[in-house]
Amino acid sequence: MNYLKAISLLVIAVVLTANFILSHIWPSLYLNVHYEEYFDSIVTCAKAKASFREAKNAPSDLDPYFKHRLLLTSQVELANCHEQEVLRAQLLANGVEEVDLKIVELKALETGEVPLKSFVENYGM
Amino acid sequence: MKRFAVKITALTLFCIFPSFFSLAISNDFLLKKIITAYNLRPLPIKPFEKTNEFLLGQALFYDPILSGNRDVSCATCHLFRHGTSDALQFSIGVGGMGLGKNRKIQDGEIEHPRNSLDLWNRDNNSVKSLFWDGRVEMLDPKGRIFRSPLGDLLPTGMQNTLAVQALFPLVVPDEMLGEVGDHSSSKLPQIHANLPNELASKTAHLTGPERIRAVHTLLMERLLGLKTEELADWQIKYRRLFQAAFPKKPIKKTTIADLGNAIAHFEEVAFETRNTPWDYYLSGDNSAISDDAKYGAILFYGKGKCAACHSGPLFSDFEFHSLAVKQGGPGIAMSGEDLGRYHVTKVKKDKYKFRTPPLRNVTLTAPYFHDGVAKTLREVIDHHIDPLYLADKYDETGAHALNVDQINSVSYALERGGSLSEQEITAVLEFLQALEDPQLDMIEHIIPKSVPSGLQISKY
Repeated sequence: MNYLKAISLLVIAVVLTANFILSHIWPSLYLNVHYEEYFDSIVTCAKAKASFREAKNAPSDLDPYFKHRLLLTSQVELANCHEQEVLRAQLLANGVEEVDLKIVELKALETGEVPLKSFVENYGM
Repeated sequence: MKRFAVKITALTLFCIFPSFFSLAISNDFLLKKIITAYNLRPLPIKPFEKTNEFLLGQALFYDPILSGNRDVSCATCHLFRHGTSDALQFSIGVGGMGLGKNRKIQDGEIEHPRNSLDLWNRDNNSVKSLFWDGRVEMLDPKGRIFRSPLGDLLPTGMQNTLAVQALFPLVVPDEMLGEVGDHSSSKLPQIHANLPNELASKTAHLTGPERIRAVHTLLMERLLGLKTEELADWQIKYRRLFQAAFPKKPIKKTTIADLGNAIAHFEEVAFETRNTPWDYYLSGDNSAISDDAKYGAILFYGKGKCAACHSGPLFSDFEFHSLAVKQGGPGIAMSGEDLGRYHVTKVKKDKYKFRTPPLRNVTLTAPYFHDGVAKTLREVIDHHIDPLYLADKYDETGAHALNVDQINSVSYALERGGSLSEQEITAVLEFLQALEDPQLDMIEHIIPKSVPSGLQISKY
């Protein structure tokens, strides 16, 4: 009986510990490991968006083939935003809270030499 | 129990390790998307055939007999071992001594004020213009109408832009023509020694296209002995080569167009990159280039914006752009600056613009830019990242390093100023390395052992 009790307590302890690890320690550890990567990806994506906007609004007197190629390079650059989305999804899947990601995103926009238009685009400008 | 837990933890960490540290999407995945978006394909591999036209073109390309003083051939400034360029900031034509980096200019002679361009893959359909300022251009998509310094005097029968281009170094005094009063060296084989430069002296009273045409006529007379009663052995050899290459054409009807076409044909066959790692990658071999090169390619076609101008199979749009390169040397008009495309079109917006150089084998053709001021590709990339870094600086004379026109002319792709990190620049350089195919295994087939005139050839 004592043996069963001990086993039960151990199982409960393992489950609680695992739960604690998975819901608190693991996400925090995971975010820490990928913090810089995520931070950089936000800055890169914001810059890519700015670059795309510029290419799209390039002066009309430019050679159309040149404009087309310029736009194509900007589209390729935008693939960085996909990379950011992949990272974001992975972070969420590993238990990182949305609010924690938002903090990283805001910090990145504040300190990552992001162009003004990208910085304010979320505010409907 | 404790040992068991440690083992389980270690095993768990080991299992999750890869996903823990690597989340990025693969370079191959993105690069394949880019390849589709840009419609990139490997260069078609053309057979290497030594036809009669190839043999004639080969002899003409390597024979100094084509120059006024019989001392310079096309190969002097287009050396195989230097990626068909010459490793010099400015090419040294007539009167130079030595080859490649060791070529020195003699007293009284002048360097050509532009950097020697390479000749790789110039038969490709994407080649619309040649020379730094595009003074030879194809005006129709089928390659039948050309614009060149010869204007309306351009002979008929030119097969492509490369053939038209081949006619012009022959008539430039500091390249192959030489000057009035020049004589060939006394050190040449007796039959060629101490001879007056008739190509320069007999045409000195003419200017522009008329002089060009007259030089061409005299050169054909020299090569084929059209005005001499007794032919030299080497002239007989050339007659045979021309007859073999163009059997339907009598020697008396042979023109400079045939010479240009033969040289162009040789260049097309000889200077063809056939085995670049990038082409293998485009063919589906994912291991053909390194991961760094793949990342470099992604940057090249994306963030770096290189492909806005360096597009197409040869990595050039063959259009004209300004990079605000600081002028080294006197410039083409010997005025201290080089206005590039403007010298051809006389249109103000073309000032300081130069044709986008193709990039296949670019790793072999240092130095770079129209005036050879960049010694390495790293310098070239640095300049592209910040083309106006000299805008607020002064040159050694105390004047502004760049003038207003030069600043305003900078290409739209560059003026917004992108940035690449050290790691990114290294990756782009790695990608450029993947465009290299020096073709050194072909050297025996391309450089002839001798030429009909018996003159010494540039074997380097």
